[in-house]
Amino acid sequence: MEVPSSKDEDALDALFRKARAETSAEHVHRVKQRLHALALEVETPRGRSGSGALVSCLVVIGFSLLPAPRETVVEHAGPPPESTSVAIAAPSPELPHVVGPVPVEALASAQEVPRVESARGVPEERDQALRDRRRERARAEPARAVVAKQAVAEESSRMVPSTADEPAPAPAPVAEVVREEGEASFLRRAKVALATDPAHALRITDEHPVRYPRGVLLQEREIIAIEALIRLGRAHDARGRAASFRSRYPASAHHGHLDAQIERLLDGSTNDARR
Amino acid sequence: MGVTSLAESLVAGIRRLDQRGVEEPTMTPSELVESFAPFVLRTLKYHSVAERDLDDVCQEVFIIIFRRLPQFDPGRPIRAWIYGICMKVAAAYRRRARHRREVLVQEAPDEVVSGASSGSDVVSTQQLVAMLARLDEDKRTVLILHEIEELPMSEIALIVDCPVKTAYSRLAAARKQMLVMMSKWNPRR
Repeated sequence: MEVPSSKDEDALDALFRKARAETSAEHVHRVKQRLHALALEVETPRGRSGSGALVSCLVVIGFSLLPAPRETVVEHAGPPPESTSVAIAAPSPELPHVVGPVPVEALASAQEVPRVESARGVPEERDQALRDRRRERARAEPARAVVAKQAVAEESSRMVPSTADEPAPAPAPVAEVVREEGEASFLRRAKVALATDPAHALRITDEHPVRYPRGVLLQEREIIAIEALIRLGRAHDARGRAASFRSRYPASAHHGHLDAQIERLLDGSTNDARR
Repeated sequence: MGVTSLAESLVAGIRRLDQRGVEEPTMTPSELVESFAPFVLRTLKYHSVAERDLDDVCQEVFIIIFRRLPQFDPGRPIRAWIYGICMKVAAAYRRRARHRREVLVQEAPDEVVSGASSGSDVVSTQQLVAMLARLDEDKRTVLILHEIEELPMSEIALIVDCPVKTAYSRLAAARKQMLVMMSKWNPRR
């Protein structure tokens, strides 16, 4: 057997040094960007201890229980509450990525989310680079950009309309290795499909339990499915599914919000039918 | 109010951390991710999560963190808790990967670049990943936490739940095994 030498020791230490220095800020931002769509719109207030504000900002989770689709945000959201402040407060140094279509909805339905600027800034150039990248993506997806712009325009002219969806995953090197899509990104596709093709959105949610038997975004899936049913005019099914949602998640803070949205959407669809 | 959704968990969890003054006095979710994403990414990577899947698996870890924050005991070191989650998620990932018959970690290279022959610029972390994959989990964990994360041994012992002395002996054994691998793959004769 080879006897380790001090040169091997040096080489090993060099490997460790390299490993320590390896994680790039870019990579961390990529992770943040992904998570942003899920939960990072929810910012805890700095210097506030009251739980009321915290409870109200629960509603703002981007991905979850916000049934209002992008178009209806503009139509139904009505004048936003005075307290709406959310994460639209300018390009934030703390949250440079306002990701995807989700925050748009979050913005419109937010009751009150104190947005606090971080003391820790992100360097100007990085922020700029991120904005540039977003603009590039916006060009690539003009339709989505327009929708986002419409919804956001009323809220704030300072907000950069974000269309930054997930960057396309790198192609798998081997054909047989079908890369497993993340649960969140899977459901995000359903969410995006809601407005244009609710039947497809519903199919995606039906497929969810099969693909992710131990998935964690169950409430999120249910909400999307319920909305898809409403949009398909299957009010009865929607009510049934909403009822089972309520019984399955009796403690959810989103019931009131959900009920209101469902009623509103159902009324809307009934009116549409009458017309 | 019961806690059921991701957002609720996250906010409730962070509120508890705040109350205890753990980590930072007030930590936003962004800051939580910023603080621990590098740690999570490295931990996953050196526990054989393939580079191409790192983002997905890391996201999975944070979803679990957000969900479970309310149950986290703030008296415990948060890093240890996060590490435990990483380990479980990485293990599940490796199981899934085995089902897909993927090769996650390339076989140990024939020749490990040594500092002597090519300098630290060229040393490849892939080689490190390959070598680490050959250690058993106990040793690998201690080695990674000590050498890469540079955590104090007392904290490492807490994370792996063993006496400090045992952690030291695992570290020594792991280093020895790594050195043997290096000299075996890079004979200077």
